[in-house]
Amino acid sequence: MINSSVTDEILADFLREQFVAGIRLASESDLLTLTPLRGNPPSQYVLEFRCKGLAKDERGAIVECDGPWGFGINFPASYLRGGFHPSEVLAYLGPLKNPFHPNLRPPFVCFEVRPATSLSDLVFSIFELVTWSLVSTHDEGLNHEASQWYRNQKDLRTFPIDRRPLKRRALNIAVKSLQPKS
Amino acid sequence: MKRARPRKPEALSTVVVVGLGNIGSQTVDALGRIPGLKRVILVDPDYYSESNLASQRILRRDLNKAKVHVQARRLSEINPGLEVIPVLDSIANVPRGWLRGCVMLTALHSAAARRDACEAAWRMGATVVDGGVDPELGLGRVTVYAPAPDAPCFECSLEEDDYQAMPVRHLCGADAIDDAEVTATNGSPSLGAFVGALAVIEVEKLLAGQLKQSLAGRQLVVDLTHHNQYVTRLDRHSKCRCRFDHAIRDIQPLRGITERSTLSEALRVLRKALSARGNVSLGVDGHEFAKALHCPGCGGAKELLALAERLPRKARLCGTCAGREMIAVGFKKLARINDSVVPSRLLRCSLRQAGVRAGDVLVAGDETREGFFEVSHD
Repeated sequence: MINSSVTDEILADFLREQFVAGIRLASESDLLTLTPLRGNPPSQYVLEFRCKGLAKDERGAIVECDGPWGFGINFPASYLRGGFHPSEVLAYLGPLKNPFHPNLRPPFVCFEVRPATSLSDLVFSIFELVTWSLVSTHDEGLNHEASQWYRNQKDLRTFPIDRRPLKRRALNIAVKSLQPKS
Repeated sequence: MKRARPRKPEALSTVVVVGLGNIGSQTVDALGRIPGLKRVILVDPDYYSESNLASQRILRRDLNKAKVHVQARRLSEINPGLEVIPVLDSIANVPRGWLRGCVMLTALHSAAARRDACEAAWRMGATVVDGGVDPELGLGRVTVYAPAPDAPCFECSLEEDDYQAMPVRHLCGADAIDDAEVTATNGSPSLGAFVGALAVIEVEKLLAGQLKQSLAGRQLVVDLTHHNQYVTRLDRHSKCRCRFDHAIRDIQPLRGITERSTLSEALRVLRKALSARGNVSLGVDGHEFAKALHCPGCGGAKELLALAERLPRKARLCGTCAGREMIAVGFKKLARINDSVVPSRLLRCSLRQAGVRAGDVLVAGDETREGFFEVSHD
């Protein structure tokens, strides 16, 4: 029971559902790796996205990176019942030390997390954040420089940085084997 | 006025008042005169301000003073023999053992705070008398939640929308805006006094052991505009709607562990108490251990092992960010600790240093069993 915060059966049922949905989502994505942690059912996940986002290099220049972008998701004991801080749920884990986004300042990730938001919704939201589909410069965000930089961008058509969908789309194409004409 | 911690729980001789505003401030005079009442614990993290003068039972000299200290002084003046314990903090931070065997009177305007108070009381098997007002409609309400199998809790009356309307906290912005702050109801003092009196009458019944005559599992609403009253029976809701598991803790006594004991000593005693063969881990009911605090302003970090919300504010301030409060990231918190997840040097710190207080309920277990134990007062 080490690290298990799940003495609550209602939360445990919720976490079981999230685990199943999360594993399914990860299996349908080329860009996401999802690793469950902490107990059975898991109450924590490590996400790794391999998509394009922005970071600052060692000289301070803003550069496009393919990642990987690591995030942690934690479901606190009060997750279904509200009143928690977003930092209770989300964390940026690295390995890039200087991700560049208005709502990201390691290890903090800032977006509104409502009670009982599903794991899949959290994963999609974080993906949108990394690829700059989801940007909020309200109150200058967590990273004031990134907020100002975003507001000064004249051509917002360059966003999102990565337009690939997180989930592979299924194509219904019939495949026939061609028989060589004799 | 005594400021010591409660020595030990005494069945139904303690009242815990949570919230000392429009209703709570009006209950103090009557509570101080209940015969046989030995102890009152007052819980509120706020201070009286100018805007409270019109709606709460205070005097101008009480402004800018902690609500708990103002009302503690009044209680002691009314009944010098009463043990009065002011707690300038939120109910979530009060050691749960203090609630054992008490009657809790809640007078809170925030749904999240009411939920926290009702959860803490329910876990300890304590009955809650919850008062509320609707000044616009002239309504006063008292509800009593008595923990029992199949009995309704506060959350049984919540709908999906109520959960979604729970305050959302934000990190962004220079001052880490917290939408959890909700405005007070600003009910009239007469309405507050009316509901306060109804609530204290229910407290008196419960202290006298008259559970059946009380509003346990029911709600009384008085419409003072049209002179009507309504009593509604509340029902336990299935887990698909109510998100609270209704578990009442079965707490075992634990000799030899106090705030001064080290974490490793506590683990050793708990292992013995559980007759466990494997590695035992320990947690604190309602809390998690933080391994580090981080500053949302500069990203700076401070390593530690403690219940972050129990640390004094000074210990949580960022040294480089003009006093900005540092936050523990949930992903790096531990619900349970032992020597396989925490370096042994950290386990040599005392429970007190880790933020654990006398009266806190320790959760301990291994792979097969789990138990709840209260930290001793001496």
